[in-house]
Amino acid sequence: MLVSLSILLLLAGAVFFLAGTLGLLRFPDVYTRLHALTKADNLGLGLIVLGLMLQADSLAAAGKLLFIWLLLLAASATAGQLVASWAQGKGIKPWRG
Amino acid sequence: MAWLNLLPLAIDLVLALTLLWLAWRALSSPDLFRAVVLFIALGLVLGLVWVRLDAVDIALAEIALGAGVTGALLLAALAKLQPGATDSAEPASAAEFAAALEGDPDTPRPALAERAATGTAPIALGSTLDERPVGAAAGTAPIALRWLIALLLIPPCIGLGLVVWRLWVPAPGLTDLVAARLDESGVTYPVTAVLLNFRGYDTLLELAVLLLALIGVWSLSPAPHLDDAEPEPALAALSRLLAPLMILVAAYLVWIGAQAPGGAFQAGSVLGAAGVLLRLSGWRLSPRATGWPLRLALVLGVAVFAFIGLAVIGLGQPLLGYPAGWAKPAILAIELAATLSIGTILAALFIGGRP
Amino acid sequence: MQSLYYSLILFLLLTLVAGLWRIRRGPTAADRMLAAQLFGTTATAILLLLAEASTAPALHDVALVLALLAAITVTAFTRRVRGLRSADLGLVDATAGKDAPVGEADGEDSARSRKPLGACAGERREGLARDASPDPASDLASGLSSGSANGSANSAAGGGHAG
Repeated sequence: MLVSLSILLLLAGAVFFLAGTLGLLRFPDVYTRLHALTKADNLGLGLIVLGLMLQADSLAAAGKLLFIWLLLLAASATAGQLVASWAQGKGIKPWRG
Repeated sequence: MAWLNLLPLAIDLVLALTLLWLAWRALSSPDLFRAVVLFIALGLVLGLVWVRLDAVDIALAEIALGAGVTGALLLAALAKLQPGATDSAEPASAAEFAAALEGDPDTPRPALAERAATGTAPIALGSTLDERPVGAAAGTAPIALRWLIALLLIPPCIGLGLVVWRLWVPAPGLTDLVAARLDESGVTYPVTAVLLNFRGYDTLLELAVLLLALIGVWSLSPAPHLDDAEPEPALAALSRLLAPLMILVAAYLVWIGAQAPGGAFQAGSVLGAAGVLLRLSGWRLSPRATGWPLRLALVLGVAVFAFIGLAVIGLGQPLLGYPAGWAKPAILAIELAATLSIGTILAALFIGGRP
Repeated sequence: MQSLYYSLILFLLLTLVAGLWRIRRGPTAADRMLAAQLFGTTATAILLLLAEASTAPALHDVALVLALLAAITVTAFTRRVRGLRSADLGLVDATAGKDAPVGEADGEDSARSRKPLGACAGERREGLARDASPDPASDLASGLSSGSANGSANSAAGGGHAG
């Protein structure tokens, strides 16, 4: 039962990764691509981490997995903010229409 | 379900092809910034390849260096070579500066190309710049010459392939020898035993080479000044969060190096990345600390290693031969000193000049 | 289960390769940096799955290091060292720089002729190791936030964040 839940979470994570990459490829400008990258990909990673945590050997190992995800969340959020403000400073206009 | 056994093979194939493609594009891209980004991506994919080849220590070092110091070094070198390319403060429309980015880089001035070529990582970029023509059309060899070179290279490639094919049976290697003497080495992980005990001399010389590289960089120029632009609150907060964690992870890597992949070089790379992050977030070391404390931290690794290696001669051992029972504390002391030194050297290489 | 892991890894690898197209295509430099960020997240997921598939817990450490260092490349991109003034070619004394240091100890160094005033190079590690102060967070907070009006906001944010 735990295994099937874990499988479900892993597959959902993979779907979100696909969505993130699709957004990265197809969205019209850098700001929207940032959304796709930092949100969808990290959600996908979070679901994968959750699925792996259910299979972890010990509480410490599960904690390490969670820690990795939280670190990447912080890093992606800051990276997104930095790139967006850099792009705005360069005068890249958001896509309209 | 036999195709399921092919999955690892498919993964390795995709990794190999991606690696080759990235390497090709990184070398042949006319836009330097694109080449740098591709090179950083190459480093990360190479880390995955090391993992697939069961070399987790190398993967740790590759990822720590590739994601941390190397990327920042290359981008800093690029910023110095092309200060106008993406650094202009005035707002430009996306199309305008996209054209500027895609266009030809400025002719690199020799002094700058040399400075960019110091340090371990940008050497690749520097030598690439020296040979690469400016712009896409100028200076590429004629088609006939390129075909001739390609034809001349095919026999050696086939020969190499044949040789590797014949070597398919794994060579015996030294794994058994190492495993037989592992108990006396002071650690339980064979890689650390080889690096710091059986072949400690090589590691000592590697540390000395790093130090020499830094001396080379320092002999070129004083450190450049950063603009005093305030870091954004998000970046400042992130560096406050990450820098202590990086120190913690570095200490963890040194400790775990005795039993599992880790060790001084990997931990030092993480420390160097922490220094890079702090430098980018606008942190300044107080000037009184750039005197002998900085120099002490830089030479501590080589000094401790050499001191221990020579001191054991007084105890009747050969050079770097730890006495029985003293191997583990000696290795720990050397690793701690080496971690500090490597981290300091890497961060100082990024800063790029003498204080 | 094993095959599920491997097929997920293959799938993630393919999305990674697809993201490479954005590096190739991206009209602005920011797009190319985005794709490099993609590599960080996807490679972490691949490493975690590989750790499960080949039961190598050491790969968790590799993923940890990657997650920790993921932000540095983007930071290096957006905070480029704009230091290429005449001081940098080694011919001009670095004291020509107007760089106001972060408020620590520049006063007592004015008497020292050996180092340029307000030298902005240096290393922070031995400062931390040397101080033996068990609170690097406050060192960093004071180092980062002094010297400007934003400082108080930063240290408040940093204190709240690190607390």
